[in-house]
Amino acid sequence: MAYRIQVDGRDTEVEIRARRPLLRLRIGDAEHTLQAAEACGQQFTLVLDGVSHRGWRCASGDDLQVRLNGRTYTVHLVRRQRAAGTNEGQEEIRASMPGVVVAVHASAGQAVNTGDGLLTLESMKLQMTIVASHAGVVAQVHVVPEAVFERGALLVSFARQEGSAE
Amino acid sequence: MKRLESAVRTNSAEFRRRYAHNKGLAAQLRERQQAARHERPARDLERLAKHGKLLPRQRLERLLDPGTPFLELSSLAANMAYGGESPGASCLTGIGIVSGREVMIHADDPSVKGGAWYPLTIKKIVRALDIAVENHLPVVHLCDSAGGQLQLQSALFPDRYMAGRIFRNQCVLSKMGVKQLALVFGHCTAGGAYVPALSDYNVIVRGTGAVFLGGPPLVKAATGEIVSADDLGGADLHTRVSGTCDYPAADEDEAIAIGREIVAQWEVRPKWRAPEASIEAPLLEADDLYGIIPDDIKQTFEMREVIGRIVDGSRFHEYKPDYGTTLVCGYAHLWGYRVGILANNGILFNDSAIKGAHFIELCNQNNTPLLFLQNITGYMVGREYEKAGITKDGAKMIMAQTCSHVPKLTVMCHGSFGAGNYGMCGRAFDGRFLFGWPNHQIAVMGGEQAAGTLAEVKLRQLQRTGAAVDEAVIGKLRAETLRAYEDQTSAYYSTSELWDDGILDPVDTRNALGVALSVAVNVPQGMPGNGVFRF
Repeated sequence: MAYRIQVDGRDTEVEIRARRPLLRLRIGDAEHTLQAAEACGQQFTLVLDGVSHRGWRCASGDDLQVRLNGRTYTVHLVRRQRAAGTNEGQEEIRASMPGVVVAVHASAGQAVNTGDGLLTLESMKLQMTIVASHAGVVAQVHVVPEAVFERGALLVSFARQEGSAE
Repeated sequence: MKRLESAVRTNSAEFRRRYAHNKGLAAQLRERQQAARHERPARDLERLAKHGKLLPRQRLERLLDPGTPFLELSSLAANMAYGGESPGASCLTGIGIVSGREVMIHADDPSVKGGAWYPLTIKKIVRALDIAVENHLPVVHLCDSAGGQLQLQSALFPDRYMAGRIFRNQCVLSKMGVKQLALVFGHCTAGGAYVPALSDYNVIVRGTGAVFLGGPPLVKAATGEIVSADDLGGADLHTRVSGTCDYPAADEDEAIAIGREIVAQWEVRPKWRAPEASIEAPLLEADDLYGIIPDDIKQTFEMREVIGRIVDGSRFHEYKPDYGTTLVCGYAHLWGYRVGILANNGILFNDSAIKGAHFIELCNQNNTPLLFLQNITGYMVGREYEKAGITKDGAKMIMAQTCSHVPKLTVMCHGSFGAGNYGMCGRAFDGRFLFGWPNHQIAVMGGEQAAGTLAEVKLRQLQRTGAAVDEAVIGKLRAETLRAYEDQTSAYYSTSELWDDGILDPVDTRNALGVALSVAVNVPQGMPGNGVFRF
C-alpha cells in the first residue's frame, strides 16, 4: 500500500513493503527498516535502520506536527487521486468499456502534458474525456470520430520515452 | 475522518461556463418559486382581505416558532399541469417547528379557486401524510378549501391513492399515536369536512370557519332547504351543539394561538437515532457546486466534489475505494448524524453493483441511514456484461436497497436513467425523501435511445410483413419520441407530477437534507431482514 505525504510541503511517497518480521518501508527511492517503534502518549521512540530516535508528535487539524532532532516538521497525508479514465504511466490507452468515439483531441507526434484531453468517448449515454496521466508524445491515435469500439480496444499509444527505465 | 480534497479549478473555462449555466438555472428556480408562492389574481386577494382572512403563508409564519427552519415540499407541484392555474398544486406542505416540536404542515390555499383540490393537490396532501406516517411526524392542517374540483372528479376521487387516502392516512396516524391538529379557517366541504373531524384536535374560527358534508348550494339542490354557511356548520354549532369541533376562536390569530398551545401539550417521543458528532460546516464551498455540475446531461463529474460540499467538515470515510470505482460508497456525518452515502461516479458495472449491495448491508447492520446521490445512466448493457451477470448483480443491489430497515434519502444530482434509478432508491422504493436539482433529468432511457429503439422495432415490423419501408414514417416516429422525451424528462415535469418532494437549489441541499434526516431518524423502517439474493 502506497501513501503520498507532504513533509513541510515537499511531496514524498511512502510504501509499506513488508510488515514482518520487521516493518520495511520505501520512502521515495530508498528502503528503510523500522523496528521497536513504541509510543507513549505524544512521545514516541523508534529504531530506523538500527539508529534509535525519540520524538514527539501532535495532531493539528488534518496534519501531524512531528518534533525530531530539534526540528518540527508538518506532515500531511495526501488523498490518493483517482480521476476517471486514468492511465498512469502506460504506454498505451485501452478502452475500459465498449462505446463510440465522440471527438479526438490529439494527433500523432503531438506532445501532451498531464491532464491534457486526448479523446472524448461515449458509452451508455455518458461522455467521458480520456486525459493523459503523464507528459509524453502521442505515437498514434487508433480511432476516428464515430468509430465504435469494444472493451480492451487500443485507443491511443505513446512514443516510448528516451531514457526510460525499461 | 479525512477531509476530501478538491481538485476543482475555479478559474478554468469549463468551471466558469458550468457556473454561469447552473447559476442561471438556480435563478430561474427562484423566480418560478416566487411566482408559485406569491402571484395571485388581485380579485382573489381582495376577497380574502374582505373576509378578514390571511394568506396561507401568513398563517404559517404566525404558527411556526420564530427563527426556526421550514422545509417546504414540492413548491412547484402542478407547475406544468392544468395550464398553470394551480400554483404549488393549490396547497402548501412542509416540515417546520411548532412549540418546539417538528411537525408536518398541510395548508389549503384559498387564494387559488377557493382552495379547491385538483388531482395533484390530493397527490401532494397524500404524500405529506405518507411522510408523516413513515416518519412519525405530527400534522397541523390549516383548512380552507372549497372541496374537490368537480369537473376533475374521476381523477381525484375513486382510486386507491386519491382523496380517500387522505382520510385513511389520518386514521392510521391517529392509531399510531401520531397527533394531528386541524385549524379551520375557512370552509371544509364534503370530503374535506373529514380533515378536522378525523384530527385528534381541532379549532374553528367564528364567522369564517365552517364544516359540513354538503354546503348551502348542495343542501338547496338536494332538499330545498335554504340555510347560511354559518348556521349549517359554523363555529357555534360545532363547538356547542354537534361536538364536531373542539375549540372556538374569535379570529385567525386566536386560532393559531390556541393551536400552538395544543401542540405544546403533545408528548415528545425519543428519536431512534441521535446525532453522534458535533456539527461542523463543510470546509469546501457549496457555491462551487454550480461550477461542478455539468451543463450537458451527457457529461460526467466527480461526485466526491459534491459529497465534500454537503457533509460535515467535508470529511468522508470511503469504503472499498479501489473496487467498483464507478460507485462511491462511504460514511460521513450530516448535521451530526452519521449517514452512509452511495454516489454514482459513472456507469454501474458488476463490481460497483455488488459493492453497493454490500455497503447497503453494512449500513443496515450499523443502523446508519442511507443517502443516495444519483447521477446514473444505468447498469452496463451488452453480451459481455450479461454473461458476467450484470442483471443479477443489479438485482442484488435493488434487493438490499428495498429491504433496508434504515431510512433512505435520495438526491437527483444529474441523470437518472433506466434501472440505475431503481438500484439508487428512485421514487418507487419508499425513500423517506427524494429531492432533485434543477438540472436533473429522469427517464426509462435517454431520448435518443428510446427513439432509436422504437424506430428499430418499427423497421423490423415492416420488414416482417413485407411492407415497403417508408423512411418518412420512421423519421416522424423518431422525432415524435424525441420531443415527448424532452418535455417529460425535465426536473420541472418531474416535480410537477410529484415524482419528487421538490427541486432544490444545489447550495441548499445540505440544509434540506438536515431537516429531512432529523425527522427520518425518528423511526426505522420495519424490521431488519432481506429477501432472497440471486448469487
